Amino acid sequence: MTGTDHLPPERELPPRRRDEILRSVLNGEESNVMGRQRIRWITPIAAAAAAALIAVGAVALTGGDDRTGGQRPPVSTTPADNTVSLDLRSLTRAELREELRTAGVEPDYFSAIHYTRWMDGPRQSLPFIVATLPDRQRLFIKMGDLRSVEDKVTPTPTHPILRIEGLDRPRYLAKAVYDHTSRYWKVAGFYRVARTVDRVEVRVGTPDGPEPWRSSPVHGGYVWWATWFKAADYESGAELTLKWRAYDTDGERINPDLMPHQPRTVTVP
Amino acid sequence: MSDSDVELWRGLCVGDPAALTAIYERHIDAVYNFVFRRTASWSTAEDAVQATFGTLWRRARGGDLTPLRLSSARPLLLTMAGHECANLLRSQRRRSALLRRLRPTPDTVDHAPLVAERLDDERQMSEVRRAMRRLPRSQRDAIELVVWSQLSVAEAASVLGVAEGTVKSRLFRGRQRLAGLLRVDVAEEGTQS
Repeated sequence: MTGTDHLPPERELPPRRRDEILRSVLNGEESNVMGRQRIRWITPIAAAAAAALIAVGAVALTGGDDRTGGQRPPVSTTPADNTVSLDLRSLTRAELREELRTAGVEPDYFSAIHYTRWMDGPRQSLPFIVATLPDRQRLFIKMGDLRSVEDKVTPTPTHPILRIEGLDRPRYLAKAVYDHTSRYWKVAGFYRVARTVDRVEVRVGTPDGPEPWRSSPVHGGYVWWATWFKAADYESGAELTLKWRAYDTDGERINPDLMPHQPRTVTVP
Repeated sequence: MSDSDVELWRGLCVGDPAALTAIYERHIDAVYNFVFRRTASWSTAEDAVQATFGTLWRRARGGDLTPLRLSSARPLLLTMAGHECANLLRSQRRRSALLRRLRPTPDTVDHAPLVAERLDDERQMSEVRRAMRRLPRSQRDAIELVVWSQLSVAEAASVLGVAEGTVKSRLFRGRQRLAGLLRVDVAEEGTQS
């Protein structure tokens, strides 16, 4: 006798309750008892959402984290021509393996790896990876320590730059990717682009302000863009312009009407 | 589909919601019943299920999951569920203590909204738990995992971090002692009735 014969029969959770729990788990909702810190799925900033963000006065003041990266490329300095490349270099094979190892997988787990770049950040560079999952339908995206799985999207001539679906909580993305400090305001996004697109550039500031265009080249059909400014460089309440532009492989600027959203202004918190 | 969870776990490690869904469907009943047997409460078991899979998903997305060492995720899930139970029970005790200070316990309880079967389960399980509490923690863990949740000795040893022989000896001693305790309880019930 070990209590087994004294145990009540096993039961199953009712189907509706099972579904409710799964849905709330996937949505990152807290248990109604535990009052846990709610973790939300993070999203890139789309330009329109940046404007919405201003409308509600909810500009996120965030900054780079304090981690010390061993071999990570150095953060760039302000360039003379006021355009700086966000893109620093490709991950080495060893770095890629190490980054994926933290996710518990090897590079050959994926059916294809499209994007493996070290990208500049407010205080340090971070690795970014885009790969196709074995089902060939969805993408694995790793942005620093943040990771996501999203459905694939296909650009068209009329929509050459597409925000990757599912990443629809813009004001949190840059904050989540670069972590929290009070020194920087920043925005960021991950996009799938057509073959004709060569690079995307983003800038925030006054017409004569010190902020550079941050230029991000396309690799494997994907582009990560981000920009930031030091909050201390501007007075609280000042209105800054947030702009982005894209160029095709012939060096011509892509018609802004074909861009998904056009950022407008941001208010310094 | 393979019985092994290793491939699904790889998907979970990269934050794949489909992998979480498959693991959830595969193990939810085991986790649910494991937690009920530890807490003697179906409603607490529901909360613990949510907390367990919520923690799993947060860890998956936060990059905190390591590759699965066993072919089944169940031993690890039951261990996580055990931690969530402890958290839940602690918070319930604090809440109950607060409520007792704020208002007296009513003499009568309205059972109308509750299902009689589930109440019977809970009463019955409480009696088993009363006997289990008199066992050392290490023996309780071994019985809960191997006898009640059908993990193999090797799986239990892996999640408990001890040798298989240790699990076997804990099982042997725990079973003997629990059998004695339950016989006494049954005899006492017979005497009282």
